Amino acid sequence: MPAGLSYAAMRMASAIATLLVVSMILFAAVELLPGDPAQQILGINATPERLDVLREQLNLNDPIPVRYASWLWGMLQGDLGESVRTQHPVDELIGRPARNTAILAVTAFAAIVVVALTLAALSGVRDGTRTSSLISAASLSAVSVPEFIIAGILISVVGLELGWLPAVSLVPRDGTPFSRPEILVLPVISLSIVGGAYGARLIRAAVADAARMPHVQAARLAGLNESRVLIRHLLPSAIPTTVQVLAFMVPFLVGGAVVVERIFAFPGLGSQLVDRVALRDAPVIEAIGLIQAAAVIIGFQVADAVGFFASPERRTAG
Amino acid sequence: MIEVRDLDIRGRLDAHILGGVSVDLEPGQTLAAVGGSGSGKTTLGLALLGFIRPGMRMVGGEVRFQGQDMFGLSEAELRRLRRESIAYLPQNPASTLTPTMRVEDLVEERRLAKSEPTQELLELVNLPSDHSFRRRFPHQLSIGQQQRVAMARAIANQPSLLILDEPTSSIDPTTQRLMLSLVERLRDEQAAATLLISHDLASVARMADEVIVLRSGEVVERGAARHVLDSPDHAYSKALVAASPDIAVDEPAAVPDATEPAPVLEVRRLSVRFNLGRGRGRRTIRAAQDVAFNLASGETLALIGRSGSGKSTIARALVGLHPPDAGELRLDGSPIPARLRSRDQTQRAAIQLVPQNPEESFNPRRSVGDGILRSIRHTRGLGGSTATDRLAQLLDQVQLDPALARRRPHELSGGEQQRAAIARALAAEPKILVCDEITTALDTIVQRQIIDLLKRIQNETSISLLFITHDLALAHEFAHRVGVLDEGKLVEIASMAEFVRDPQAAESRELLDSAVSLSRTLAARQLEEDEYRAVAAS
Repeated sequence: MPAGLSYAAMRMASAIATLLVVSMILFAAVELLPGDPAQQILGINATPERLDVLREQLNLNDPIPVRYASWLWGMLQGDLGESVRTQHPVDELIGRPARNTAILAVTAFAAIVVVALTLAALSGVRDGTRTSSLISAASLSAVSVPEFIIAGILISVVGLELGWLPAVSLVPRDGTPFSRPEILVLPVISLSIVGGAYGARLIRAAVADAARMPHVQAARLAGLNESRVLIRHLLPSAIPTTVQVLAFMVPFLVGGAVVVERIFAFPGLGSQLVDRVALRDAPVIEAIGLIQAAAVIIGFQVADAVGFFASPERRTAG
Repeated sequence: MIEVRDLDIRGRLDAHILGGVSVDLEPGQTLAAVGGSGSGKTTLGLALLGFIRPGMRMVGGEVRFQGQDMFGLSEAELRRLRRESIAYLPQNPASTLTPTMRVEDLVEERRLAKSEPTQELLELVNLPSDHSFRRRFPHQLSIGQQQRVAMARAIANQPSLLILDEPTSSIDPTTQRLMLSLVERLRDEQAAATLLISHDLASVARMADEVIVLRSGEVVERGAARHVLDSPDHAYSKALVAASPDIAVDEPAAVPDATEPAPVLEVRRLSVRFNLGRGRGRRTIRAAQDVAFNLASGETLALIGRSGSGKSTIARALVGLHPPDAGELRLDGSPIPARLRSRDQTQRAAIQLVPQNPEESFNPRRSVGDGILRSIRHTRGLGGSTATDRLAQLLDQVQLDPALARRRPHELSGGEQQRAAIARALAAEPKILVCDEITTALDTIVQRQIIDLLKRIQNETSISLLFITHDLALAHEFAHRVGVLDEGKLVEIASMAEFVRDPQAAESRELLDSAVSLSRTLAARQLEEDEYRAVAAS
């Protein structure tokens, strides 16, 4: 399909361009953090000579564009650099946390999809019923509570008072979060209550809009089965908005993971990021930031692509 | 087959939508429900499907279809009836097509075991039935093709009851004829009954056996179609028949004396193009090509053509909303800029647009009076009590009750909205009023009132009117001259009398042939019936 192919190529190019711009902003922002990395590493009692030597080793005397170029060049070759604090290669430092966060985020995303779609379908297809009003009231209250409050309540009630689930999500040294799945439950709930309720509200609106379209009413008056009306006539019109809403969950999860991981002491990228910002460990911060940005960009690209292929009008244009 | 007894349906605040309507419909019979907007026609049609629109409720009466009480059936039984026995085409048939489904799926899902194959159904509505056409999506079809697919879909179940809601209002003449022959076929082959909902009396005269005249939810007259349409008894039926434009009866308006030395507006070689899509799929549509005409002071020029012929584009170009690619506009002999932004205050005020949908053109959160006042302030620079005095004067001119002007647009009827929109345009004291399909959404009686209003204003102010419409019969009654648009080209321009007597372009003859005439249709039917009787007698 030529329209599809040229579309894919265009999207790919724009994704790469976006990532490049993000990398520049990210690099500049980290460089602009106050304080001198050499001073941070050696402490306040370091002699000027030792500081100079270290600055030279870290290439801190080069102008920012030059350092950006060499950093980017390294990135392109898969070399994430090494920590300025511990001299460990960055990929070793962030490998396990990245995997842990990915597991947490994907689980939470799946939960959000299930919660949001179920609630949206229950309340959006037939407007004005009791279920529908109940769901919209409940989801509004859930949206208004930040995830760290929910996390705090879950820890104190479910974790400490009742003792049903671990209040702290420690991952075994040689295992993955899946080797102790119970540690995932509370973080995933904290993330998916807010995300699911938020998604449900937006998707509900999309489904309700689709339900009011004349072709949906016509399909009902044509005597088609309700399931056929839903699957063939109503829901396809709601797909593009729905995937856009779900794509917005990716930045939500990226940000939410930082907070929730911190609260549950979950060893993921978010925790790692907070630690490394405190240490001014630029290469690690930059690598994590880039991974997060890539995840968000990929999410939106996938949503755009699904929206494109779900709409015959756009797919067949040209 | 259909028995409706004392059907009582109420809307908000217990307002009567249908107040005790009884109707019988026999197999093979075509019953027309006619009446203005708000008469309850559509509600009656939907009630035959066992459906009542949200916000309304049924308080009494019953609807029986083949002996079964439609409102006593379970969801599943009702669904089965709609699926197996009824075809319903709402006002805008193309809107029933789901944009994400292919032609073949749309038709296929309504077929039953006894139905013709999808391919034959498509051929029945004069559509191609090859594989590539069947795989198309609705947006890849022309509007006429979409309407035909909607028809094929509606009748795919070989219905015994057809409900057609204003079938002719959005359909071009060829598709109208096709629909008529489909209805006849279903009637002859399987004795299908038809409920035809319409305010187009000519199409009613052509199709219906019986007519009921509805007014505010009550049947004011019923009887044989020919009798009701030819010599109605009730005052309201008389008004309906009188308001119906008839190209064979009414005399066209005489062209005013061309004593004016120069025309108010000169349009020279106007061309407008649209670019659709981007990149390789880019297409250019020439919405107007080398269009040229003059408009004299106090003259009405009707621009007629089918949908997509470029009528609205020309209107938008004249008022400066859509800059043309080429051409020149001259106002009182001197050229004016193409873009609204570049025109000065007087040039802007001189050409005013009355839009197709007045409700959308008013701010929904403010009263329509406010909207008119805004126009007075901006175009004439009036303020304070001078402006309110002018508002009162304008409302009087368009005969809109000042109390109504304090309401918001959605609280007014279509005719009242249109009066407000005309007042707003007149606020600028324009030389030219561009009316873009302003009567299309109105029923016949209100249409007539708006036309009378425009005529009166023209007599008082010698304003020039550019009246854009697809309804030749209506334009015929009050336009001095007529221009025919076909695919962006002005193929003919002539005085109305000359045009009707001797149309030149093929498109003109086509439009003239299909123009509404109640008297002609009635005569033709009479002739048909006489012949039939003569054949039967011999």
